[in-house]
Formats: sequence, C-alpha cells, structure tokens
Amino acid sequence: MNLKKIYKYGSPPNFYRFAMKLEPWCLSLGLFLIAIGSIGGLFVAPKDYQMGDAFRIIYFHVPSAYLSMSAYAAMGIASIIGIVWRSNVAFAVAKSIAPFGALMTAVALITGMLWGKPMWGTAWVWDARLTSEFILLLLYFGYITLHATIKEQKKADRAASLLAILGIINLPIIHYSVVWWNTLHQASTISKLDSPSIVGEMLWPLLLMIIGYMIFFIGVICRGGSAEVLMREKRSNWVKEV
Amino acid sequence: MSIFDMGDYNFYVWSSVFVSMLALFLTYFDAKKKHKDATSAIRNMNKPK
Repeated sequence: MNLKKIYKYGSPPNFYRFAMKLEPWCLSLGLFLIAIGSIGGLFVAPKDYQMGDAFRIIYFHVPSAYLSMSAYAAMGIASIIGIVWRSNVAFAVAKSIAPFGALMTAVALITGMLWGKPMWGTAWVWDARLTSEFILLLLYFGYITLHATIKEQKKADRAASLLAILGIINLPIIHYSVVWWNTLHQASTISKLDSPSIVGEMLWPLLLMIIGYMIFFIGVICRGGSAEVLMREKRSNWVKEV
Repeated sequence: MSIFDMGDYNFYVWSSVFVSMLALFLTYFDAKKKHKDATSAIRNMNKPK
C-alpha cells in the first residue's frame, strides 16, 4: 500500500475535497440499498414460522446494532491515529462519528425493546448483550460530554480519544456476550457467513440493509467530518476558497 | 389483506421502521446543518470590514 497516498488525505484541504466528492455517492448508494433492503425485508421475505411478522424488526435492529459497534471501532481507530500522528483530521473524524454512533446505539436498543416486548414478554432485561450495548451508549455519551466540557481543543481531543480507545474493550464483550454468558438475547444469526442461521430469502434484504447503513454512515461522516475540519481550520488560507 | 398489515405486530414493526428512518434522516440533516453553520461562520469571518 502506498503510504504517501494515505498521508495525502491526512492533510485537511485534501480530506475536505475528497470527502465532499465522496459524500453524494455514498448517500445515494446507501439510501438506494436501504430502500431495496426495506422493501425486501418488509414485503418480500417470508414470515418467520415462530415469530411471524415480528421477525421483520431484524431488518432495522441488526443493521443499527452492527453500525453502533462499527462506528465505535472507527472512532477508536481515528482516535489512535489522532494521538499517534497528531492528526487534526483524525480527531475531527472521531468527533463527528460520536453523535451518529450514539444515535445508532439508541436505535439498536429501542428496536430491540420493540422486538423483545412481544417475543420475550418484556422490553428490557439486564442480560449481558443488552447491558454491554447500554454501556456502549454510555461510552458515546461520555466521549461527547468530555469533549464538550474541556474548553481547550487539543486537551479535549486527547482526553476524549483516550476514553474512546479504552472503550474499544467493550466491543468484543458485546460480540461474544451471547457466547460467554447465558443470555435471553439470541445467538448470532449471520456472523458465521459460511453457515448463517437464516434462510437465503430472509438473508439478502438483511445484507443489503447492513451494507446500505454502512455506506450511508460513510456519507454522513464525510459531511460531518468536513464541517468539523472547516471549523478547526477556519483561519487557514485554503478555507477562504471554500 | 394489505401488505402493510403485520397482524398482531403492526405497532412493533412500524415503530421500528419509523424510529430507524427518523434516526437516519436526523443524522444526515444534523451533519448538513453543521456544515452549513461552519461555512456561514467562515464567510462572516472573512467578510471585508
């Protein structure tokens, strides 16, 4: 891999121009895949033989849960890059991921509750999967609050990044919680891609939704990250041309 | 029977759809607003006095 190319996008003007070019493509492709996946999941996929139509919540719950964890991983990696290479762009990207990740975690929890109520008879139990996902939400809130309370930008970036890096340990806990402990939450459905526990007719809309959410996320981060870069670089000459 | 009818689970399924779509649009418009605010702040800063 050409490291020079990677370094090139670490420069704020290059990142800004690249992100603004990428954003509309990601948003349109992401929304297109989400639309097809939603139609497939809600109207084309057959009913589950045990859960009936309630299983269709999977098409909204699983992509948001995947994204809540992927966004945190991206935030953690951006924080590491920011701290190691002192990259302002990486700090800006990490900061712009936090609200999006927090909202996706909240959506995963809410849609999980909406699924749990008719299936388990309760919307919430303090089992390992639900609790660790709730801790993820608290980590996002912690990152956002820490960043907002420290006035000096560099100190805020460093403190919030350290929290983000420490919080990465929660990701394998969320993923393996259903294996390590007895939980009311079901085991993984599609993480074993060679033998998924879901039939093909139900699987394709789910895969489209997950890919669509991921691409949409990249689009939103391009826009949000660019805004953050602009604010940080507002006194630079290149910004005047924007 | 309507294809929109989810039987006993209408409320749960459609609420999930609504919450998810609302979140996606909120995140996009929030990012868009931040970008607009940033560009207008920079424009104001660079206005000739």
